[in-house]
Amino acid sequence: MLAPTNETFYNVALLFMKEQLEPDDLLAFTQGKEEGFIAVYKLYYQEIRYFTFKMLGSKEESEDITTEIFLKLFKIHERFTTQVNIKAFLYASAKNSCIDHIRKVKRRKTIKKDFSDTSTGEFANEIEDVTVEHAIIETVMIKEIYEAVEGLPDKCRQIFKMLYYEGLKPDVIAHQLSITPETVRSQKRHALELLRVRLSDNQMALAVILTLSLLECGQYLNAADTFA
Amino acid sequence: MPQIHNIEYIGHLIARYLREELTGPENQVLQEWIHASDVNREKFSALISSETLIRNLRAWKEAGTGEELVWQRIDRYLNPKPRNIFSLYRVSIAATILLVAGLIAAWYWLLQNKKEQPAVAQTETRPVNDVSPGGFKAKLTLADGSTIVLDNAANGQLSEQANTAIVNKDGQLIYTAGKSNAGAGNAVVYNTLSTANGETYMLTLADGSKVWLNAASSIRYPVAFTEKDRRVEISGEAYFEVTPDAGKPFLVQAGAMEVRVLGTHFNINSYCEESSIKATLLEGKVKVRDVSQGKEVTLKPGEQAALASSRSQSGPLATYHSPDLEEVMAWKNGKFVFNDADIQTVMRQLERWYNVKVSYGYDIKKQPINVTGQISRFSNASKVLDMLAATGWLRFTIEGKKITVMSRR
Repeated sequence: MLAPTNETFYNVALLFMKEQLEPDDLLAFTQGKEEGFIAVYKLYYQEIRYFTFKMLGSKEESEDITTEIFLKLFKIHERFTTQVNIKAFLYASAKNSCIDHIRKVKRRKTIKKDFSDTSTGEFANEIEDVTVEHAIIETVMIKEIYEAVEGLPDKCRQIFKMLYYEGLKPDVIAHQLSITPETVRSQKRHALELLRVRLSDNQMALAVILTLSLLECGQYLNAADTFA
Repeated sequence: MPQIHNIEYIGHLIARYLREELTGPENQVLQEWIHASDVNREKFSALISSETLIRNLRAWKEAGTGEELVWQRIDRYLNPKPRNIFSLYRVSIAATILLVAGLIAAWYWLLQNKKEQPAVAQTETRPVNDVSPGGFKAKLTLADGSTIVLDNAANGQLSEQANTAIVNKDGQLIYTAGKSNAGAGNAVVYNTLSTANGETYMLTLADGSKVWLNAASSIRYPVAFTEKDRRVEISGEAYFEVTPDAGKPFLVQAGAMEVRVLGTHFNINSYCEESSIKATLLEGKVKVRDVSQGKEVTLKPGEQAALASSRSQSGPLATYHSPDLEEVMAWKNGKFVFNDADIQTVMRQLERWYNVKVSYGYDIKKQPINVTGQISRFSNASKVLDMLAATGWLRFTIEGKKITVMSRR
């Protein structure tokens, strides 16, 4: 149960004010008190869960590994006196756990296929550092965009979420909220303006949403609607 | 090999790029990273495409939904429960018995249903996960220990004791003293009216005094007031409208609190799970006495006396000059009224009225949460919870008779 060696640590920083842990919580964490654990967990759970999910591509496995990572962190709580160290440990240990896991799965498959004599060293190289880096970049970026959406005014946030997260059509949303489809469209424009996210190519975005709903929900949608 | 980038910073820059917030120097750093390798270039264009962005936002949201569950798993390791083999054994036996009983019940139910099959499709619109409100029900225990279940359907004269007629009518139990004073001199006969969770009832005593009984409460009273004072004992919560009788003071005992009145309107809340026993006066005048300490205060209308309900935290009998009367009287007026009320106190009220068990998410106990709002007590539980959720801090789930309170991210 050793902390990862220095070389596996990423150079992490606390990018946002929101990310700051209260001094009381940090102290409680170092002292091994539950409220400190909860504060740290609430701050980093979603990031670590998303990161491990992206690395492993499986919900169940990312759940198992996220549980392990936090338990590992809590076990050696007394070693951490700064928040940056906590975060660096989480990412480093998330990376290591994912690589271990992928290696184990690969080896099992290899043995099954009866390709013998593959030296263990090669497995490690299969997961390149750049994959890990890209997963971290993606995690940070998505977190920031998601929080920008959360910061939208109530009405346009609701409509943004229904459109993009739930993949609902403007007509359906208009019906559910008892507003006109025109209001839905104007709230959506408003949301995109506020976010200034480049989703603003209306036709494209709509086409994407419809494709996604088709793929993910298996719903039948009239192709003609796409260009309506 | 280039030196290690602050890779988080690159993520932050891509987010800013998407939001068209990049400054010149920031753009330069980002461009450098993009052009450092083909894989970076590919990753960048994938990340900023609408399709990937939407898919990733959904995945992020999805990742957040397991927060509570994963914490429960972690918590099981942090606070392992000592295993008791004996109780495990007993639990498994109980589970087996329940399972067998359940199977038999299910079998019967299926048989029954088959017979009634031709019925038209059900038009019930109530959501499956909801709990209906409490209603007018109670249990009357007579002096001989026999019990009668009361509700607002069964009307009529129940019995006659100590020259007093007892009638049940429309959710109200009424005692009417006989004209002759034949009962005087005999031993006093006591009855007890009690409500369980989800029940409420009204009572008119032999002297014409009216008592409203909230859920999970009880009152013990003489069938006829033949003594020199009128003495009743309560647990839980009750509201009194006492008929004036200067010659016979009316005394209510609630735990260590005793309220002495002449003729007046007041409420007593003495649930043992609440931190204090409270008497609140609406009209008239009462004297409130702490029986264990012998201290006494006199209340004016609109005032409240409070006494710590457990011995361990016994404090002095305190008087509050401006309690929230609307909140205190809400139950009797058929409402829930919460004015900046602590969520745990609120949920205890719901437990008693909807006969549900409430549990809390792991992070609720950390910060105190207060809620405000009012709604009819005769709404389904889901309506009340919707109102509470509208405060913005909370969300709820109902499963059968179990409500879980969680904080909203």
